Amino acid sequence: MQKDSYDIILNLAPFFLIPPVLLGILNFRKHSGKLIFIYLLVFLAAFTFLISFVLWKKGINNLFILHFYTIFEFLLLSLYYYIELKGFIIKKLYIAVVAAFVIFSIANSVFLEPLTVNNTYARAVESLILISFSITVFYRIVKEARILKLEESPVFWINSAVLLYFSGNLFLFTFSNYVLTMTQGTGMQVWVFHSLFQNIYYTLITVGLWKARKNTKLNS
Amino acid sequence: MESAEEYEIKLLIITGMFGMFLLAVSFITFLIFYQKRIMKQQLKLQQLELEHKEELLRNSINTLEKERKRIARDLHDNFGVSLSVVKLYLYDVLKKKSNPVLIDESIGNTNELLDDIIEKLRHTAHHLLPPEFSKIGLIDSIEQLLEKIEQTEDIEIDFHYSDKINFDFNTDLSIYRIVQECINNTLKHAHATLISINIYVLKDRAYIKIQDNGQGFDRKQLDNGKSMGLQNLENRARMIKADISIKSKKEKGTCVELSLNYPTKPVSHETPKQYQHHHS
Repeated sequence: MQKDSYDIILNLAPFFLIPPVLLGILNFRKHSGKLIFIYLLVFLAAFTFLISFVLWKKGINNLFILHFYTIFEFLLLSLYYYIELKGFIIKKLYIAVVAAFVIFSIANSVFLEPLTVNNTYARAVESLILISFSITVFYRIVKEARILKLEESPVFWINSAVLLYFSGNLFLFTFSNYVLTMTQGTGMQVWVFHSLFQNIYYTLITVGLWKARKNTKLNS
Repeated sequence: MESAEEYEIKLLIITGMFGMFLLAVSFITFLIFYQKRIMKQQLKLQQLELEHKEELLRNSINTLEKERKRIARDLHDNFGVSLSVVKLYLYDVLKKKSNPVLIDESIGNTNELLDDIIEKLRHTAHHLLPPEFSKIGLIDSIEQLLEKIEQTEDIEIDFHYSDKINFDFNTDLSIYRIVQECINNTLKHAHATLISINIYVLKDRAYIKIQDNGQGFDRKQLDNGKSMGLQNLENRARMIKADISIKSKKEKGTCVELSLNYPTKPVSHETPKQYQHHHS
């Protein structure tokens, strides 16, 4: 019974990517600015999933994809947050942090954690940085008090998605290589929670993109 | 079959994941409630500001209407009746064409009455706005005002200024009106024997202090009309970005102090002037 529910959650995970990808295809040209990076993020996630799935089916170790995905995911979210936090943060410091992470991530893949294993250090550091960015955005929202209804703001939903996903998975990303060594059943029990958080992540992003679409219609 | 160690680590990871997730959820929930509270407070503040602005506007309109009524009353009482009498005198002149003595008498009376009308007209116009106000400046206009008051009222006036301050026309006029209003209030309500006006500049700020030794008042016990008068003073001060303080105590007199920025100009070499006159 428990295994069935785990299977459902795990198997449903890719389907949660469909709504944001569809929204992205429909609205990519209508939006300019920071939302483009969210659309690119979901496209990247979908593309990465497809490649990983194909490789897994062929029995090829697909963990190397995560190394590349981490860097691109981080860059896209950093660009999104750069625009979101413009005027609120020290530009040079921000660029330095982003550049430092990219260099660290590459160095980690080359010297510390090869492409055949999970890049746990890079994922953990990425999580911490993105959690900081999202908290900073929430702080800005409260400080400036410009948004009358949080629930109508795309920023609120997308930022919540990032905070919940990376907070929830911080521990898993840190210990993911150890989880790979666990028995399949045990490992599955852990990865199912990752899928759950991932589903919540894409759902909240979908809500955010939907709100953005609604706001564009109202403004046009 | 998972080992005990595997189980413990699995538990640790899952607990950590859920712990962090719940922490994030709590943070977001707290944020939502906090933000709603802030927005509610902001809206309340905006509402209060709007009400305050409406009240200011209402006061301004009331003051304007009051002033119009006063002008209308002055025009009617001072000129309406007098001009009718002039007309009667002139009609008399026409009727008494054959009698030069009576004509002279009528013309003499008409002349006297016209002099009286001209004087009252001058007084009314001066009360509205002193002629040559922009040419002679604020200090001299206040001096002229005080001279007129001394001629008609039984009160001692002590006027002292250390600097002949001058602002743009609107600011000068607003200060003049505040001084005028304060003096009128003293004459009407305070039963004072002395009004003291002091104007000086200190560290790039000009100070205008109007004091009397009258019966004072308790602001909370003022009726609507008098309270509105004080509000008008405050509104005028606000309009020229001046600070105003109105201090009064029963039987201890009233002190109104106005202060506003006055950027340092080249020092005036005119000796400080003290104006004092005792009306006997």
